[in-house]
Amino acid sequence: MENIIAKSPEHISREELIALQKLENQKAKIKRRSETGILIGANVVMAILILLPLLYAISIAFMPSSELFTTAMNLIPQHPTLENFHQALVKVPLVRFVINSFVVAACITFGQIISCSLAAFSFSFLEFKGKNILFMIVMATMMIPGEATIISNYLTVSGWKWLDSYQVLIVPYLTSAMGIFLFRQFYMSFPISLYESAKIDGCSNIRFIFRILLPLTKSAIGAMAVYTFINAWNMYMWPLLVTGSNELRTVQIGIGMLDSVDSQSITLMIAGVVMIILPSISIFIVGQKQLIRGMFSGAVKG
Amino acid sequence: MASVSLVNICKSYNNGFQAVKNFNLKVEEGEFLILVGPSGCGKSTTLRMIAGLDEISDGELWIKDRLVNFLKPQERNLSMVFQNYALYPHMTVYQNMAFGLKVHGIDKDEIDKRVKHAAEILEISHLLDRRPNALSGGQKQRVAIGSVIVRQADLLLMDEPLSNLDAKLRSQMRVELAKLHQKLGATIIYVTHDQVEAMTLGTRIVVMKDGEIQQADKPAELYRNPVNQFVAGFIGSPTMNFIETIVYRVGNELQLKFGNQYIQVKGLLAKRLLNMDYEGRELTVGIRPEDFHLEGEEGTDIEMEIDVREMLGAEILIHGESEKTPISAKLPPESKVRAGERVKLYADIAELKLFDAETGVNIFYAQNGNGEA
Amino acid sequence: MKDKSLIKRFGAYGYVVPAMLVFAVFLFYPFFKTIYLSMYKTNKMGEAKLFVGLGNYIDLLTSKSFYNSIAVTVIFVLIVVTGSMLLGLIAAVLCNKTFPGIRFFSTAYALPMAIASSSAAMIFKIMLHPSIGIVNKLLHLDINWINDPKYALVCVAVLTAWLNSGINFLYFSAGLSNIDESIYERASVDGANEVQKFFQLTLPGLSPIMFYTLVVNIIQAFQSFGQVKVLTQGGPGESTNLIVYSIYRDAFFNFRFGSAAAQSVILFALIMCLTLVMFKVEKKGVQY
Repeated sequence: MENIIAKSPEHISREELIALQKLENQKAKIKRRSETGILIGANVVMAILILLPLLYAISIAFMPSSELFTTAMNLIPQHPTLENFHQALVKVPLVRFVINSFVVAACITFGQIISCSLAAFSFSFLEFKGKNILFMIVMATMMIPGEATIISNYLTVSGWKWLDSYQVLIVPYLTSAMGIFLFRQFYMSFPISLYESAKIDGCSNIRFIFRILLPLTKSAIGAMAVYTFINAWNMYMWPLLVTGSNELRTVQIGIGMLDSVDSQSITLMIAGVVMIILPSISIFIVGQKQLIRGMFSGAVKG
Repeated sequence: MASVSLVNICKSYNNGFQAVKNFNLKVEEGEFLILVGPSGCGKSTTLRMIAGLDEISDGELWIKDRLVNFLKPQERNLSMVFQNYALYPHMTVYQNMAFGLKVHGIDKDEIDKRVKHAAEILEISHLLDRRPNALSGGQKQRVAIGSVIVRQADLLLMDEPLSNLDAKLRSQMRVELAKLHQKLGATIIYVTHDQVEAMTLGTRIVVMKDGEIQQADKPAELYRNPVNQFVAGFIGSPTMNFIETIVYRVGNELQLKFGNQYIQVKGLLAKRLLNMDYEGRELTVGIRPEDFHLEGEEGTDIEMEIDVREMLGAEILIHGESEKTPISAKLPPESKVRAGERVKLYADIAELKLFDAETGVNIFYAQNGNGEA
Repeated sequence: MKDKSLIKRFGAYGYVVPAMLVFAVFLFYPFFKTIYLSMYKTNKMGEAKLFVGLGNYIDLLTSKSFYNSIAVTVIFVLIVVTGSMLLGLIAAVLCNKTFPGIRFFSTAYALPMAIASSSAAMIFKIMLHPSIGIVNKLLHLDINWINDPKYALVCVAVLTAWLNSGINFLYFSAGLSNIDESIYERASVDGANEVQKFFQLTLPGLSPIMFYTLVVNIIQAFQSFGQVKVLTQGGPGESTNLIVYSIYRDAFFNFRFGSAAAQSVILFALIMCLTLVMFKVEKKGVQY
């Protein structure tokens, strides 16, 4: 091959050249195709590995429990059934748990967006004494792990007789340092003249926030909403400590009621798990683009 | 040093768009060849095909008697300066310049020698320990060029290397690039959209438009003898004035009429136009701003109203309109003209360019040109 | 007039009040109360009864069980951080070039971040089941993963690595897209092959985000709780008794709030020191 290519233009005939080109074009095409093929193949393997637990869970959720208990390979249910889902709903008040989780997660998300955007507004557009110190303090809170405070928090809320209530699940999470930081990053990218011209037009601060700032930061709000909702939905340790009754259990705790040694209920349990994973996954898939645009494009440079 | 031949090079995309059409060119050893044209004309694509970064859809690319269509960039023994310099952000200047040598397995002492030598030539020896982020635009530019010099490759490709610099630095770097070419004697293929850069740097210039070569010639020749209206308008600053006229015959003379005015053409030129059957047809007259004078022969004058007068020190530029055609002229600095005035401008008939109004072709290109198109 | 200037003066604080109030009540106050509690013996209601100074700490530092917790936690964090970062990195590299179907794959790789630790743990519990679990079936093994002290910690760690890999994928993807495409072109003109490009351009190019991701991952790994609670309850023996789980058990089963508080303070100090050290190292290492 090499010596043909190394021939000078005068020493190679037209036909030879055309044949050579055809051959090489073919080769290049095959090479490109096989490269894409290998890439896709590697991705398929990786995706199966990552998704295996989920796929397996879905498969079991549709399996009659008799089918699960074999030593043979049973990746796909032979006689798919919806019975597990039905039984799971009958056995524990799953709908109630879902509603609880939904209310809690929605309130937390809404509350965080409001409190964080107000604080971020103040930190980025207003001047006041101690602003920088206060902001540093807010940032420092990110360093305190939840475990360092959870015991005292438990004692506080139980002292207030707040155990087993919605507010105990919601109130402690009504703000987040990360949210304030994220919104502030966005607001800082706006020119201060945006605020000043609104002021000159006689726009009050509150009006400015709700009419101008929030609509302009839709992508940050979207990212924040997806992230916060999923985290609130998946919250485990705090609800475990502060709720005891069926009326107020969230999904993550409630689903534990299906988790028993009773081997017959494994398929029920997994069906329940699938049902409670579904909302968070759906929100994630719908909001993924928002999340990436709002959170990761800025986060990298920061 | 290497010669490069492009034979019928084409670049087409899946959506059917043809970025480069039938590009034929031979670049001689040691040439400083400029590819110039408006954005989207295919000049960068051509360069990237030579580099091996974009695939060649059709045609042959020869470098130094090797058909390289199917070789990877690293196998083509060339080096390239990118528009944004493409410096490795995590490496020091020294490491940046050494990278290309290191991956070629050249030994450490040799690398050290070459890098230090190149740094000396480019006067960046004191920057060798810095990282790209700590450099100014001009310094980054030098590092990028330094990385190319140390490779001692046969062929240097440069993709708009000066476009990110401010005007002053650009003209300074232009001079240095020209010097560098003389010192290295390497073959350089250089892409730019800036005709001033093209004119000052190139030993030969290829003007491109819509993926096709319009003209490939020496700078002076391009300026003096453009093949068509596009090239004439692209080369030169301020751009050539174009006046759309109709040819009338008055006795032995011709009048190139536009609105209520005309430019008179006599003698040999008139005869040639008559021979070519241009009587009664449309001609676009091209006059460079520097070919207008305040005095001259009767009949070669046009009247214009001055809208703007720019004093540039060594010359005065005036811009205005004549019969709704925009006109610019370059006058000596002592000229007493003011904005709002009407003036008579005399065109230098010898420097007139005449373009067929339909095709845009310079109708005397073949006759008086000696270019090697 | 007077009112207006008052608003002007204090209005700015008004906007931060909601956030600061929540921080004050549920973060600053409990944080200091935890430190306070850590120096007392408490009753079952969690009321500080008897000042013991550093007594709780001394008890911890002389207890075998606590050292076990620390050791288990450190091993756990090492496995989780390595595993989740590797998974995220591989996935991100696989999705770096476009190809048909890339959107499906990138969603798949990020998906674990949407899944709760407790739900995931229940799924893993079945997967790792000695007789009906898919892991033993696929690998033709007969291992009692969760009840064997040799494997239990690894199982919890792998599960956690899987959970955390989703967000790492997003971080690394963002990091990769931040690397200027043209330096790869320059490298190929310079003569570098794909392997050289990966190790000399991609990895160093990821180093700023790599560092950030590392810090976040370590902090996150230290705080794993739900998976331990569901999967192993700290056992078998104490082989998966991570500090956070130990805190939970001491406080809410043994009602030794003082000791649990002391462990919380130590955990906080540990994370704090690690973070500070990493920032110090970063200042020296990553210079651009």
